[in-house]
Amino acid sequence: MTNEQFRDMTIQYEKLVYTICYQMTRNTHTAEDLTQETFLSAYTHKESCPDDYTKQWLARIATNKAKDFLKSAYNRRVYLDAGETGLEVISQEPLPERLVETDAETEHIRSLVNKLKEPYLKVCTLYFFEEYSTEEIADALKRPKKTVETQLYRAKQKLQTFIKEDSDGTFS
Amino acid sequence: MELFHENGHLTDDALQALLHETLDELERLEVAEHLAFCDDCIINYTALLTEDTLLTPSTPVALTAWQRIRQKIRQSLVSRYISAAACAALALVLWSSGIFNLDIKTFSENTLTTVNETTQMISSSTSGWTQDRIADIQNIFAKEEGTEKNEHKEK
Repeated sequence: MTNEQFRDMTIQYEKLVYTICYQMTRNTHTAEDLTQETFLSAYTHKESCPDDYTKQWLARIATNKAKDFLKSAYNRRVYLDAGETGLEVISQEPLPERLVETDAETEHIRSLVNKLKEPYLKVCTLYFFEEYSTEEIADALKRPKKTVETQLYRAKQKLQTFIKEDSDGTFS
Repeated sequence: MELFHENGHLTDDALQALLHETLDELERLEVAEHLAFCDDCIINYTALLTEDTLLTPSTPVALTAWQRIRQKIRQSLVSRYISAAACAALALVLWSSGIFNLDIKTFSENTLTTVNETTQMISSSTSGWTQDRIADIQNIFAKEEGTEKNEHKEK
């Protein structure tokens, strides 16, 4: 792809990339920044642009940029909101792995896992009950390993919340 | 509302919610994470992004991005020229010093004087040569900018 062709492509797909970035982040300034970053990244990898899938290729790059932004913002917000008290409470709750010692405890964890929705349900089922590694889960579900690790981490946080709600329920 | 089918793909509801901006932050992150690797879902999503649904940025983002790209191209070209000039100068100095000759047992005073004079001569001529090349590159881009501005005026 020549520089002129790339320049024409940026003009042709400017609105598409901006729309994707805005729909993901819902902020006009962030969307404009991410749109620029998308085209910069696209230029660096322009030789890998598939001929009939330019739109989808750019959409993939834009989505990745938005995902990285959202992930960073979400992680910062979650840790700030949790504060010291929140983090202490969460860390004091036992992790699900440590609870699977008896059949009754297994069933208890299974009932909590079944409360999860996709994309966390299958990841947790394979991890806790089939004892798959994250690499094996990634292969089985055809997801990137990093995505599986992120989903597992979030699922554990949700499970800890369920466990805490269960404990509070018992004592109330 | 379910965002994901049992098979892990995004539901139509999820894509419509993304389009109509009704997802919360975590939901948008989950959808983005899936679209980042799923070919089928990215095709479905982009199919929904028809001309009438697209938004227009308040500033010309593509133009700004293209200017940043051109700046990077310029910087890359200039640094390549400088590296090439430095390598050529070093090779000439080493050649003048006789280091490529097999017999390098003695370094006479005359040889050292020659090396010093040669180094000074090469340094002054290559810096002038490098400056000329930088000016050439800047002229090329200035001409391109002039051509683009004329095209823009015609449009």
